[in-house]
Amino acid sequence: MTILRHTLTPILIFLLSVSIAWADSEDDSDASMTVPGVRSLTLEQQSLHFEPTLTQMIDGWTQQKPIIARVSANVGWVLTVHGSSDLWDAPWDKPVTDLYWRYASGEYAPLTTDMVEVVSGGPCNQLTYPIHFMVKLDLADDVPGDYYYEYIVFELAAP
Amino acid sequence: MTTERRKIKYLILAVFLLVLLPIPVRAEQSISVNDINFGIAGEDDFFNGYILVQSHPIFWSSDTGWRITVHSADPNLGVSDDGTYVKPLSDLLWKLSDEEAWIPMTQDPEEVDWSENGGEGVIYVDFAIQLDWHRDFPGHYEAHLFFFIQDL
Repeated sequence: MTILRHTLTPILIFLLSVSIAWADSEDDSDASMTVPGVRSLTLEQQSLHFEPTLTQMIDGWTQQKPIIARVSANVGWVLTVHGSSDLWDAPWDKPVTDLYWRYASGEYAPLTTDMVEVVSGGPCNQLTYPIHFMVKLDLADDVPGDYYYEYIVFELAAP
Repeated sequence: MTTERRKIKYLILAVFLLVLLPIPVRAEQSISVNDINFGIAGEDDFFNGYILVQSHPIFWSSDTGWRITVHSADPNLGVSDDGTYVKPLSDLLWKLSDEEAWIPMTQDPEEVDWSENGGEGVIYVDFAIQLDWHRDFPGHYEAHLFFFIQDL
């Protein structure tokens, strides 16, 4: 009995001390974020304006004008271009294929309503890609007037 | 030992337990924190370089002076879906909402706030996860955080 009492007393004191230490409290929390594939395209020029000179009319081409595409992505991407309609809004049925484009120092090609790859790449931050345009001219067909073409469509998509 | 002496001994023990280790000495504390959901990172978040959760409340109560700490149970924020990238835990930053300096999350407890006075209240903490176009491939990233409140 004496042994029991002598043992019980320090145990009681110990348990009370422990209960003080256990007074600390905690809570847990999950910090979470989902990252999808993100692709961003901005164009530095929203329109192109050509004013052909007589010399250019005779040569058959306007000057070249660039559209700078700025790309950011955390996944692979492909940049495409196409025209949104077959014809210009013009005094005559000027075809979309009279608008030519090229990327960097590549060959000029006629724009069509079919999507064509311009360039592709991987994760990047604000890389710029210059795409140049010029218009094919014909003294016989291109009568005086205002010529509009809407739209040159750029798309940034998964490869 | 006589019955009287035994009674006296138990009485002394009872007085010792009730007076020398009184119940009011025991600190009653609690803390409550909800999950921190950053949602889905978008184009603007990448351009900002981070995704933000502002003024996340931490509810506390304590009958004595207190300090709150936070640490992560995980060594990193997880692996991208393609398995090529482990997002470091230090990309998760925190700060008290009314302060300026961001503190990288670690697995070691860092003091969030403290007070010499008990009571109950709420403190607001901002959390951010850094984003980089080149590194942060698609995936679900997370860390399991522990918030402790303890005697000052």
